[in-house]
Amino acid sequence: MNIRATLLTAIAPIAWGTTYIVTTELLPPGHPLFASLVRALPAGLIAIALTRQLPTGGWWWKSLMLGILNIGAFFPLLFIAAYRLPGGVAATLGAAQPLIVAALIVVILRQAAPWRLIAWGMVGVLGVGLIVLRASAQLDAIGVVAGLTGTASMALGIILAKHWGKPPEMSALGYAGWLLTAGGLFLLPITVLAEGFPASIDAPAVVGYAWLGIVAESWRTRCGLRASAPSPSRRLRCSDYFRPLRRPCSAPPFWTNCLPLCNLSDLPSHWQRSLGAKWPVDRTKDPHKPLNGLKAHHVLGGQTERSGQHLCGHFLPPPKRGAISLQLGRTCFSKQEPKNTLGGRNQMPEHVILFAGPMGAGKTTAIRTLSEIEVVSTEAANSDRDTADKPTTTVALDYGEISVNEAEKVRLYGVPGQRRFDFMWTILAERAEGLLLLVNADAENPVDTAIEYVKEFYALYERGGIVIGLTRADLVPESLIEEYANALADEMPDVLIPVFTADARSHADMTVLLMTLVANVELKQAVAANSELTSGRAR
Amino acid sequence: MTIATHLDSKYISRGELALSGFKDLAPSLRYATLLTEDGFSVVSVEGDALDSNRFASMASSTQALADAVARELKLGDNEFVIVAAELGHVVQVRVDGHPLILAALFTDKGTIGKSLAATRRTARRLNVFLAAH
Repeated sequence: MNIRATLLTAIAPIAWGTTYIVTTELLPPGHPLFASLVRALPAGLIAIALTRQLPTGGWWWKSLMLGILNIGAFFPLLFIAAYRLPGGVAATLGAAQPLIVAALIVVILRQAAPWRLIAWGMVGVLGVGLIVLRASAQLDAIGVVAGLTGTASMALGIILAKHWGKPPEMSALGYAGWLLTAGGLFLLPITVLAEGFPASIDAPAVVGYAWLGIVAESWRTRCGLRASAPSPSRRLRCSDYFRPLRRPCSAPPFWTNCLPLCNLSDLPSHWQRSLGAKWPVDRTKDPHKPLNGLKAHHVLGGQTERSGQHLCGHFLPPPKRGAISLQLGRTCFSKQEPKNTLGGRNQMPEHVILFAGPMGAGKTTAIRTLSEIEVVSTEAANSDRDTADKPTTTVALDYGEISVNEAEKVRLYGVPGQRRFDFMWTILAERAEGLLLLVNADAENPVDTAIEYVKEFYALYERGGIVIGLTRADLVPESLIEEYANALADEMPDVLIPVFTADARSHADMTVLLMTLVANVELKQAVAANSELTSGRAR
Repeated sequence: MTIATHLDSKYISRGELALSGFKDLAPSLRYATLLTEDGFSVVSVEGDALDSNRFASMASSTQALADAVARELKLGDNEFVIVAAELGHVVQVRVDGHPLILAALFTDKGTIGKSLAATRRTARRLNVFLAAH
């Protein structure tokens, strides 16, 4: 993931979400159409002047239609809602957009109903409503209709934009310019006829118009149309993710109560593509059947459960028994900035995953299985053949890489298994975001060993996550995996550590473990980031 | 049954013999250990306060990392490793033909060149002793 681009993109909806506060506090009352016009037309004309690109063929009418839906119709409706409704009510109406988008996905795109999106949309509406609605909230009929219609207009615009894609050989800025201009021109006669211009525009109003028209809109045009990528569902979810957040955050009375809502619905799709994994794995037909030799248990709160519908997406939250399942996923913008290996000189985002476990568990093999580059190894002749009967052993580290995209890498570090090299554990753990703990199930006291390692790397668990892979599990009784789960739960009742059986030589097995770990890490980072955000606002 | 290198009396006795003259070659020697490639201490001299096992482990990792760097950069075989710090330096050399490394810690009283020469000479002595019997 390009963190910088994502963070920059995150600014757009937040800046744009200031519409409510700017409108109510700075702009002259009673001129929503004029405010919309000022917001759209200048920015559009500037963008066209800068890019000097023309639509071709059917893109003339497509631009016009999208301009009307996203801007010409949406803006005045947005302003009408902002003028006539309390911020909390307007925010709740806006939060319904994922539900409308979900309906349009079925109707227009003729895709299966995105139940996850629907569920999160409902949660979003409910959550935003709970946060920002007050008992004293007044419902103005015109405002409600305007809010809902505006939301629907925007949703339709989003769906059509996704459906049609982007005009060929036109930059995002140029495309945005034509949409804004189309929307602005659509608004111009309506504004003149229905509303006219404000009698006077004072200094605060100038600031407000400038903010909305230049800052907020320029960010939106810069970032919004980048969302015209060919992955509708992912982008829609990103958009939905911000929507419930920005409106309450833009209203001062609710600022301290504004809880960020996590969209945990989207799995790390770019990781999937890079790793060639099928994810999540549908095991509904036979949930207990091992996939590629894998079995999974997820451990928490003294309980264990065989994995259900999704191989790695079903965790038990403490202290209740087995009711809630979390769909693991990535965040759109709240992920913490990854560390750099070169003290900040290297700006390439990286993810460092540590492979640990006792000698002979298959750490080096696992890294060789996953790595796209030739693994850098530090093997030395093994003097301790009693512990592990193999000719060589790792004495410093193994290093492999997986490229997520041109700008993002996953760095795989393996540490030596012997405790006498624990200084390497410390050194490498400092850089790591998650730990893939491999334990050979046929070793002596493997359960105790696993627990010992989890304790050793507990800081890494707290910071990112740990996933346990039991290797050579085919050599031990079937029930051993449950032993791990139960022992871990008894020893550390608050930890959440998935336990799998896996073959370190199998790319599919190791990919599933790695993906599970990544999902864990991202989930934890998202929760941590959101907690920080919440506590920061509370202060 | 094969005896582990660090438990092999041949290596222990020859190592003790070779290292016994090390301090004479380099008075700034603070500590030295003969270790296996995978970090087991075979024999040590001087510096009782040091944790010989930890020193051996770190020396093993350092040697392996240095070897890996030389290998990745296609520099040929790595001849020695030097870690120079404010208050002293560590010199490591392999014992040719054996899975052994001689690692020595020196104070800042002597020069690195002299320490390196003494360490290499001690490693060669050990090699001679091992070859002689």
